[in-house]
Amino acid sequence: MTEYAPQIRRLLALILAGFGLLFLVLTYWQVLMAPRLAADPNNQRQRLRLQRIKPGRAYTVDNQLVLDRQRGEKGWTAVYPQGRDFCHLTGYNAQSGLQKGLSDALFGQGVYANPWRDLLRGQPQGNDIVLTINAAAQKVATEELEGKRGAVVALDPTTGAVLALVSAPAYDPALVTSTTDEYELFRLDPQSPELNRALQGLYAPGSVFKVFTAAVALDLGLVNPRTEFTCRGRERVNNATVVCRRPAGHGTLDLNEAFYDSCNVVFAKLAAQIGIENFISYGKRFHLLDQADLALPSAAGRMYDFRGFKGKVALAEAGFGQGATMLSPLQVARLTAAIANRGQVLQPYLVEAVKSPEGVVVARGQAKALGQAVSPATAATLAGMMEQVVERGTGRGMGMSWTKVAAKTGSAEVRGKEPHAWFTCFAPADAPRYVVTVIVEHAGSGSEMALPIARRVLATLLEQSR
Amino acid sequence: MLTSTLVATLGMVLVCLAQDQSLLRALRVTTVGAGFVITSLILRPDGRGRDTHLLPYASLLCGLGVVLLWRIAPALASKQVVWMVLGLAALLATYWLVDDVAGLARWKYTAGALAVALLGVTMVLGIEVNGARLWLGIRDFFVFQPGEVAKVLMCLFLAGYVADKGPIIRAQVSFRPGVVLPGLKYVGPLILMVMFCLAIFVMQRDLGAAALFFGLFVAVTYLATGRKVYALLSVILFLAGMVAATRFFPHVSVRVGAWLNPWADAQGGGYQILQSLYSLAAGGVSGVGMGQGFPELLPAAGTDMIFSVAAEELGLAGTFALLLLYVLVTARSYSIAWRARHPYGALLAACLATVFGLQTLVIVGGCLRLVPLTGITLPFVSYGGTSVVVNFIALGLLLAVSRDCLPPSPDA
Amino acid sequence: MDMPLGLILLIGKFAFLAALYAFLTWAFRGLFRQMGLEASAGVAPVPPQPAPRPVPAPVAHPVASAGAPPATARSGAADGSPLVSAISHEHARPRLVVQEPGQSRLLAGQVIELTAALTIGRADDNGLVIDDRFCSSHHALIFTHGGERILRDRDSTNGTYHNGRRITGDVVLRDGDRINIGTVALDYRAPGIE
Repeated sequence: MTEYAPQIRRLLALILAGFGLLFLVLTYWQVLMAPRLAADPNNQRQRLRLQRIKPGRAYTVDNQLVLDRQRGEKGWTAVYPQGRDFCHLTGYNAQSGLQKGLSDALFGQGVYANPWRDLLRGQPQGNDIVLTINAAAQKVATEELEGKRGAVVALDPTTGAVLALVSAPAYDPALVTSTTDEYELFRLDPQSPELNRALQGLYAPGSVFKVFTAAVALDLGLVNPRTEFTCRGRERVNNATVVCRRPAGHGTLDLNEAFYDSCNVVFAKLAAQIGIENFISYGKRFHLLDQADLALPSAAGRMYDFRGFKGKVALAEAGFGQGATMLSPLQVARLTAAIANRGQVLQPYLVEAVKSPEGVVVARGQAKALGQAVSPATAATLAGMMEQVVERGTGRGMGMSWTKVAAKTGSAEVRGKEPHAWFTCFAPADAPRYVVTVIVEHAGSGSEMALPIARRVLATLLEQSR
Repeated sequence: MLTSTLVATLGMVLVCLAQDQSLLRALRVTTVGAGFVITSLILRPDGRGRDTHLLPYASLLCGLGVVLLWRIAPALASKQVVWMVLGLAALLATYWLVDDVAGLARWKYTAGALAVALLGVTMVLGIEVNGARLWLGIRDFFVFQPGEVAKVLMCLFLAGYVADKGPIIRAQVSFRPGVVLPGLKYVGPLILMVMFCLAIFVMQRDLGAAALFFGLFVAVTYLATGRKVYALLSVILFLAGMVAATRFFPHVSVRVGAWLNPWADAQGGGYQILQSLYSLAAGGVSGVGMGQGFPELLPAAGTDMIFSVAAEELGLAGTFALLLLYVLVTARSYSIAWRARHPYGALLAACLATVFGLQTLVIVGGCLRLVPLTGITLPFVSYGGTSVVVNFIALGLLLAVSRDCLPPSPDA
Repeated sequence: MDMPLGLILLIGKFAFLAALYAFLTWAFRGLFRQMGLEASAGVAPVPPQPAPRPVPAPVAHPVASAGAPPATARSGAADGSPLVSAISHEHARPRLVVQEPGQSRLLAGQVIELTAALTIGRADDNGLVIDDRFCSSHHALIFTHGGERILRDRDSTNGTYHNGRRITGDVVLRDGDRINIGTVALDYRAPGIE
């Protein structure tokens, strides 16, 4: 030992104190601050960690591969075997479409997390998803909407399963993500292909909304199909000027005729009779003001809830689906499905099953009743009236030799432009299994422009089940 | 020794498994382990009271370093293995050549002049990388870091100087017992050394080396005089100089700003330190596992930020272990200094231990945002040829000093 | 490859950490053994100086080993400025007495009072200038440490002799010790300090 020993010992103590401080700070960052840092928006780890997980695949109910994956340089990337046909379902990256909406299932996160299974598997792997979509119907609908703007929704009214969900214009997910230029073109396209019109598009429903007005009036016992009305072609109802599609007017007609021949004057009067309170409360019972809750972004429907003078005008216009009432195609399809399902409203769903990579079903889609909107009797009466639309009304072109179809056409007026062509229907009318709703933007009358599309989609669905 | 080799090999096996690579590559780390085993076998018959623990500690640190480097960039790890083998050769050479440690004292002025010359040349002719001028040589062909070499040379000089002049300095200092503030004659050298450190800091843009040299000077001042006043005084001077530098030199203020609030410029100046913090957080208590972190997000993962890489993959448990290893090396080195029989040996060991401990504190503190992040290496673990070889030479010197120590135990 | 890789990696991770800590346990046990003995080294009598070593290298003699009382090492550790206490004994200031001036200009019987650190050599900046041919410019040093006067050779060419033996490290001076530098002989006198 030298004369420096005491100083040496104190230096060591000082350095050790420094290490002690490091231990404390290390604990602070690695334990106390860890959750906050992990959630920091600048932290890319969560996103990169998902890229390391082998994501699940998505299939349609008839076993068509919709979303695949491949190993890229920086982890797994998505592949789109169906291209444009399923673009609004698959999305074009992890932040869009079902890749975002179902990411927990696809990447085995959240409620689908299974650390033990991952450990045994050797590599974290997500779950496969079976969609309720009928691939054939989806493809036919996409094909029919090619070159147009619009949407097609097909539902199973007995369960709420979504059988087709198409929005046009479509895009090619692989192409738009290929280069930045393509991506910019896609994002800035004035036709907004990224928008999923079936869920996010809000349109005036036009005459297809008469299904709702009629259902409410029947359910309240205000009218029956034989109740007579007069139509003079152009009338003022609730201070709103209502113009009928027949300029000369229908004269005296009953509700049934008013429905199948789509008389605006009668339905304006009906709405006035129903009153704003009932109108809104039935809107809620049909869940028209909800979002779709399909793991995809969707818009809630809008109804004019305005008391006073303006509200009365809006109510009369709402009776035949104009004015401030705005619905998405899916909500119109739900309305139709509720009538087809004896007045019961069901929660629509897109996922038939979630399967582990080993093929074990982890979760299954189920019909979920949201409540009775109208009585079964009302629904049956209305279904009969909708059959009349096909038999002798505006939907005559829908007639099929081997099954009965119930339908309603619509031409929603848009100021200064061609009206949106609407068509909604279900079949078979006596034991409904399919609901098809079509809208084509600024195309003209529903019976001319939307009906043929619905006809092909419905035929495709019916053929498959025969 | 064999234990540490096994530990490192296990780590390597884990990396290879996690990254889908052939297990045979794990043997690479065994090369380093074998090098250490051979070295200790060569040293064994020495018979003098050499320290037997430092070499295993270093071998484990080196093993961990190679594993982490392999995980970051396999090419770096392969080069590092070569450097480590060269380093071991340098260690043996140092140990044998320095048969009489006290004899090294004769070279003190040569060492000191060389250290200052190396630093001076680097300041003028150095190659600038990432805004810091720390390298000498031809870019992309052969570069070395004179700062690392200067570190050990400075230790040799300071130890020699104090061993010779220490009693005189002490006598002068203690002649005026009641006076707390020493006269200008004694403050002069302090100011000079503070200026020297600030020059490194500003001209080389290397805060790490500046802090390291400064800490060494303060420690030596304290060793020589045994008075804390000088240490405190020089710390105050240095901090004042830093504040002034922050005010006057924009590149310094940018760095300090990134340290004080990295979130203000999360994609620019604050990027590196933020990524380090995210790594620490991702590691949690037990880590994400070898080979399963994201070192690719960390700039300079293999050199400055290797501690953060370890923190992510091994968690708090691993970083505690790593820091404890450094505590061991530092404490063991000081213990050699404490037990040394000759003043020169004691001072040399103390200087080397101080450099070693301080370097670890500064770089790890940087990764933890305790101090501004600097570009110095984590001894034995970080990638860097000069650093590795110099660390081994320092280790060789420590072992040489340990031969002339009081025996650790009467019956040993 | 159908093995549960994730599980292997998880077990491996903990095995790795366990191995690390096993190593640390071993290492710290070694360190504490060493430190524990160090702590007692100041109190217990220091082991006697090992017999002449097989290696002929100049080995420093530890200060504490030159027959000092057991408390020596501790008193140095007691406070930061060990020199003050020694100087306060004004009446007993130790000194050197020239016994043989040899070739130097010193006078026999000349008394040199010791300061806290007295440098001895041929150069003018020394506390004690010895203009002897065999004296190096900075030859030796006598300084205070823990209340003791210590003689140290400063790598002189011809060496410093203490009681007839050439010193290789530090030597604690006792009253009446003889120091030989070149042709000069000095006696160390420190009455009252023992």
